[in-house]
Amino acid sequence: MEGKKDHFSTILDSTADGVFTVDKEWRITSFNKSAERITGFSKEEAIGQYCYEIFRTNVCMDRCSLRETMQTEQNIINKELNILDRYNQEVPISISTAVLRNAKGEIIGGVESFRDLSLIKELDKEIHEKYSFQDIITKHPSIVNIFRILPDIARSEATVLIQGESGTGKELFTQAIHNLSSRRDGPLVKVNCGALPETLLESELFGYVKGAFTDAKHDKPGRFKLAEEGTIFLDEIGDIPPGIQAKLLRVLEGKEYEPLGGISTIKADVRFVTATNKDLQKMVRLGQFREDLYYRLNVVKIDLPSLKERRTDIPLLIEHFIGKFNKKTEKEIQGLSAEAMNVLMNYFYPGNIRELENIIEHAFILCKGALIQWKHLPSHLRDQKVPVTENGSIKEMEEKHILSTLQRYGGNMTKAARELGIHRTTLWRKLRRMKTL
Amino acid sequence: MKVAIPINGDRIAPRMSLAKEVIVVNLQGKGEIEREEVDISHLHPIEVPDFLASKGVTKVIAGGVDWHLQEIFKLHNIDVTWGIIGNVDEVLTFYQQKGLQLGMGPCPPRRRRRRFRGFHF
Repeated sequence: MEGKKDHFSTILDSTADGVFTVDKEWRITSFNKSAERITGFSKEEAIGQYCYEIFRTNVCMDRCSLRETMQTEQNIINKELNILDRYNQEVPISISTAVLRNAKGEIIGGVESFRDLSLIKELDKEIHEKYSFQDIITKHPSIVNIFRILPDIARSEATVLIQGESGTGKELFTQAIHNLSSRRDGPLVKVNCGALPETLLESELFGYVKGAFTDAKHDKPGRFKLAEEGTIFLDEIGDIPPGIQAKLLRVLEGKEYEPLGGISTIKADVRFVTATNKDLQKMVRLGQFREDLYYRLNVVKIDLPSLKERRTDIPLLIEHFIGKFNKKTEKEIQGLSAEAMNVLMNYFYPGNIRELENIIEHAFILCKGALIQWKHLPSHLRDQKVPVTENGSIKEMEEKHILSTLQRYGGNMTKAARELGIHRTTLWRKLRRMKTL
Repeated sequence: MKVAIPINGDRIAPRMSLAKEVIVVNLQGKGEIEREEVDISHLHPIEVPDFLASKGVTKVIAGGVDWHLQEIFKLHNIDVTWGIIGNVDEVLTFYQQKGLQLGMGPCPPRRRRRRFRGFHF
């Protein structure tokens, strides 16, 4: 009997899918090697615990699949959900459940197998651009502060203007506002105003009726119509031509418009979120943007800092991208050499986070070892190599960064810790280790 | 010091963002002065740090905590010890006696002293 049990656990441990079993009290009774890998909990830690305290899925309390299976005795196959692993990372998984019976056929518990979908979901996100604000990697107080006020902004119906350089995450915040708003069940329609010529932009936004122009063979609804009861995101709003600015103002003021060639007025039940990388205020001063439209758009303004303004996030983002590309390329790159890190910490990133991601992707192609070296970085970065001192280790760089931040805040540990994105006691511990205290 | 713990019955809620209730415990030294159960089901998870800060909470002991939430807690100078699994009372006792570590997982249950039943030869 013992030998048979060992045999089964060997088989379970050799499968790529996570497998665990529970008793009727929901306590875990077995936990295979893949389950350890996916959840981050060891078998010893997991066994005897309630399954919902180890897996922490988004449906554990209300819509548990294993509970459903044990009640209905119906297997569930390939249901997708998210767990929270030991390190607080959301892991998308697909689960299958079945009941567990003893030799007499009595139900003694349940069995669940699960597959890690992280890579598939990552690729899916890239293809379909299904990013959410959970994808914003930051510890910078200015952005965390935005997270804090986001539910209030989302709940209001106010028009939002997001200002920030290209690649700072304007679209992610729009997605977040939409998802947190009462319009979340409606559509989120995105329009890049800078990518379309004036006539096309007009027909795209407002739609047209049959016969409005030579090729208008049938009615076509505009983006405002498609965004009905949802949110419309007008990206690159600073690029819209003056003619459309006037029409847009009317939609914002009266919530109504007429399609091209149409005579009847249509009500627009949409919420506006707009974004730009231009200085609209300056454009108003120069007469390039209507002042009344600017004030209509600028009800709630969110300013997103560029990456060079939040340098403390660079190591965090690098770690995130290394993890992402490790999964994608099946490499096992551990990090960056001090020299490469030094270059990335001092670069000015005109393309912001998107550019940093491209740099890491470039390095991944060239890197064959465990560490990304200076030579693996794109040539334009290697040209601006920052000289590394003899003792230029990451630890030394961290120490220098801590000391300069402290100096900037006149020795105020609370403010310095906030800027560094670490807790005050962590800063105190680091300073003590550096023998500064 | 006021400590908040998201709860699910008598256990620590597995995930802070899904918790509907927290208990706020006022601790002094090794004793407990006051305990209050607070409904947070009406709040969006992002609003919970603001709410707890307004109640004077300076520490949170929780199961899984989404990192966005952790950062917002930091803004309010609320220290978060996440990754704790166990019975609320046992975790509180353990915290007061030995302290808790981030991500420590299952909290060892309180050891019950075995009754002395005499020597056996």
